[in-house]
Amino acid sequence: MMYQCFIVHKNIVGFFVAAGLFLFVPTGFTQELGKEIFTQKCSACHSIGKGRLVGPDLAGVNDRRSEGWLLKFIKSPQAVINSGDPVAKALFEEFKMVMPDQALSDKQIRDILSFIKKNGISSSASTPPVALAGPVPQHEIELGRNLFQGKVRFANGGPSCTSCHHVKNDAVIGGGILARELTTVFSRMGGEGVRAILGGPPFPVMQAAYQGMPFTDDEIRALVGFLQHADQEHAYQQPRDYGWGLFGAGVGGVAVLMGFYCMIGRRRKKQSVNQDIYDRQIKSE
Amino acid sequence: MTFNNFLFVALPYIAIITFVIGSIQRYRATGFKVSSLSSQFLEGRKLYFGSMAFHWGILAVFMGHLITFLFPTATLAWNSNPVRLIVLEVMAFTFGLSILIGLTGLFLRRLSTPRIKMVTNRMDLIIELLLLSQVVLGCWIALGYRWGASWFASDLSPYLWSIVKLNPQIEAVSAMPPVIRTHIVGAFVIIGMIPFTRLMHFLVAPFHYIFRPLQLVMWTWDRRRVRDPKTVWTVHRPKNN
Amino acid sequence: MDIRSQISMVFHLDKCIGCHTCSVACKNIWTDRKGAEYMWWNNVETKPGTGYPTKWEDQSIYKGGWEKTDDGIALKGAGKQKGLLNIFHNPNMPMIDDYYEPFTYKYLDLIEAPAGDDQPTARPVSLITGKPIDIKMGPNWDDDLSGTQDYARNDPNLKNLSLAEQEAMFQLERMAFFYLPRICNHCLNPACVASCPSGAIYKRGEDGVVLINQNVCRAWRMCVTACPYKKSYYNWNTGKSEKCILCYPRIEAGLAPACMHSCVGRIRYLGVILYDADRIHEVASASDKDLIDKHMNILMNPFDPEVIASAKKNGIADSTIHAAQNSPTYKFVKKWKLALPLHAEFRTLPMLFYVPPLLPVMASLKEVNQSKQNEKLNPIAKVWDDNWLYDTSTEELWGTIAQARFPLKYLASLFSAGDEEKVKERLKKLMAVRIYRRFKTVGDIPEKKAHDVLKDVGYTPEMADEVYCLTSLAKFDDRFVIPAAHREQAIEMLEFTGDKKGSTGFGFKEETMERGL
Repeated sequence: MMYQCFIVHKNIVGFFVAAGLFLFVPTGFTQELGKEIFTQKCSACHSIGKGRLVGPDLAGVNDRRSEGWLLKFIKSPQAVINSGDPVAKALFEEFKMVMPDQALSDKQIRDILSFIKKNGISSSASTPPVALAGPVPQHEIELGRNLFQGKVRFANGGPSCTSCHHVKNDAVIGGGILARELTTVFSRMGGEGVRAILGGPPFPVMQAAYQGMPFTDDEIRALVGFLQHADQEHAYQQPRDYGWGLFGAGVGGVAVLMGFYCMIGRRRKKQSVNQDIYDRQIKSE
Repeated sequence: MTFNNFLFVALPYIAIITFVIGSIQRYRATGFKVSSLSSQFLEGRKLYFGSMAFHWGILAVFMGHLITFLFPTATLAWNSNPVRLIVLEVMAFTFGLSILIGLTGLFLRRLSTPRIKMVTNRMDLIIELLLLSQVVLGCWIALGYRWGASWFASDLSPYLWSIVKLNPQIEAVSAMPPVIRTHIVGAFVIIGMIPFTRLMHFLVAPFHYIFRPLQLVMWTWDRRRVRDPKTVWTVHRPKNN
Repeated sequence: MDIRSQISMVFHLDKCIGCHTCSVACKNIWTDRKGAEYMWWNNVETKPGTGYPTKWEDQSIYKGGWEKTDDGIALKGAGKQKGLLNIFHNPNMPMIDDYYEPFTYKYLDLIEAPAGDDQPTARPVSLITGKPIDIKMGPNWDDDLSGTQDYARNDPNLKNLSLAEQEAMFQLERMAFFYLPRICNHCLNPACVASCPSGAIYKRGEDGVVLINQNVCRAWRMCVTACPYKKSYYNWNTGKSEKCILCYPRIEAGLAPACMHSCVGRIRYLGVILYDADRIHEVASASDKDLIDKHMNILMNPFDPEVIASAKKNGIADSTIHAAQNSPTYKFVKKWKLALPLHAEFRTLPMLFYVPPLLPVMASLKEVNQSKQNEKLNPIAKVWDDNWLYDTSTEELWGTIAQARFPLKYLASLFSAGDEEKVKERLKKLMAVRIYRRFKTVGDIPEKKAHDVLKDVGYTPEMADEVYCLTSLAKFDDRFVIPAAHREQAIEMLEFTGDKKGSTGFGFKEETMERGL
């Protein structure tokens, strides 16, 4: 319930990711600008000719849409959707999420588009959209599960996924609910999408959390494996609910604490030494 | 953007600067009033549970925040075991509730006891309400955004350190849910208000008592240190001749 | 040997008439302020009685003072561990209701009330809330109420007395009481100083006055608990503790403290006593039985050349040593061994001593035949059919003390940590002087008997005369021997006075030095 807020604010989120990244982009280069920006900001969710990930495959996007529309949409997808644009609405229907706003100048967007154009032609667009999820080896699921809930620490010291994410799975403790639930993330985004996000998180909160401590390739493989497994199995899982459990534990704890205060304070001076005299006196009111 | 800049860059610095300069100024100018201003003398029964629950709770919770801020990696290492994580979270929530109960009790006591009303000023009520809302938010976060011990260490600790290092990185905090952002803003507001409230008393917490000898004798003037007329000057030399 | 000087006091209880002039003088000067109305830095209690705050002597309620541990002493209700753990709520602290809620009357209503059918009244209003209150208790509520259920019979000192003894004490015809004026004892081993978490309370090195630095006090309230005499008061308005300052501004100017200056009965004596600071801890840790003797032992003889040399080495001024040699308190406490500290078992080594009261003790009863007297009475007059009479005779030398109408056990629990012998010894001396003076002035006692009595208590006739003079005839300067404060010399620690010579304002101003331990 609470993480709805998170979704609502994702546009702001994206805005700031972009803004943050923008601050760190060295301004000196020109040649590889398009490629650079694309890898940094787009590649987590989009491929060029390698099928859809979180968002659509961008190969040939220059032909499908007008440049004016693209400029507008990339800057602020939410605004375009809100304006009632049918194409944008259709995209939203299809992918069920809104791309974060991007603080890019027109020139930078053009650089990206020209990069997509060049690469879209050169690569063959024949790859199947989502690689079929093959069976994952048991030990990898195991490792992924332990990494997910932190029993095995990430090699570079990043926080465990349970800190913020929940997965409906009996074998792990209830995860955090600061960020999205990941039970069906595999079917939503596909292996590539998840891999891409793990490789370079586009969300600012996640980005800050893994700043300077990225996942290793093995860890990403194991996590994707686990998420795939969790996605397939989630219908059969009935993990315990921590919401009320945590609350109950806290209330129980505070009851114990109050009992403790009572006990250590049982010899305190509880009433005035003159109470007997006061009680006997006649009161005017 | 600008609003978030104000909340998470400007406000923290304003708060910290106000806190530091204000506290020093208050201590130097009106040191007499730097006191816990205890009201136990006037009312002690209701105070017991209020004060105990509030103070021990806030001590535990404050230490929790402080340790996670100072040692995020150690906290994450501790949390790597789910059982330890749950124990930590339950403890934190327990003490949070303890503050909530205690502070509510203290607030009601302040409003309902005629004698206590006489030693209450407007700032006492304001700061108690602020603390109360801060605690409510904190408990809400503990339940609604659980495993805060972990995400505080990985997201807010770097943010706070970036403030310390004078290079604020606010992307992550500005992307946090509004409840958490309010909690953060509330914390800085309270820090900035310390010099103007009775919270000053935690700055003069008597830890030096542990280390000092029990008896204290002071000499207005110590004849043993005064110059013996028969010898040359030993304490300090004449300065101007 | 670490000789320091201490301003000490002696209160002669036989002379106290319970007029409270001392309390009023003190209140008018120091505690007539908001938040301090309930404070009585000086108060006079009726004994037996519960005192102020009620039952202050009962440390099972207030946990004041020190208690003996395996390796020395520890504060009973405060100290480093207990003090810091109980800092959020002091479990044994006296509250306003253990004193009384201060009040005043709306006097203006008496003249400003509109005309009506009723007499205008001045309603009592609380000095805390300003609202009308029912006065439940006030200052000296138990004054002269010895024998009442609420006050006298709740006296904590009665707990060592058997029920029969208590009943005997409170029979209407036998009842007696005396007054106990109390101020801060300015102890050698002050519990308030040791308990203060902020380090705001300190003992002045020069004269031993115990003071609370109001700028450092943070209202942790531990001194209120720790002081077994309950002479540290919490000011609810300023959030600071306050206590008797022994009128140090007056003392430094050579004047007696206000309470002593104003004392109608001239019961109060003030003077310097030199003591050995090295042995304070040892004395405070002594067993209950040895406490008083050891306490007397660290009060040093100011005529002993060794003591004088050591005092001078410590920088005690010649004038102070001279004052110690003339000190009336030294004479009462050490030379004549007449005075005892109040509740030595609290182990704070108080420096206020009391000459125990002889009158209520000596005025004992014995069986007499009153039939002759009764015959003279009018037949309708009420006739007492018992054969009791107050006895002030000197026929039996020490018999009256042993069969005192006021149990010695009671006095012993006040003044000598339960040791009746010590009280008896002091009372015998008082009585000896009395008998000797009766021989001199009335002449109805044979000389031999008078001298035997003195010899019995170890006094010479000269000593007896001295005691008599200081007790009955003493003038202001005999009662208060106040040493010069020598503040003028304090400047020498801060700057070389030679620097200023000839510069008359054109020299450099230097920072003053911090106070040191």
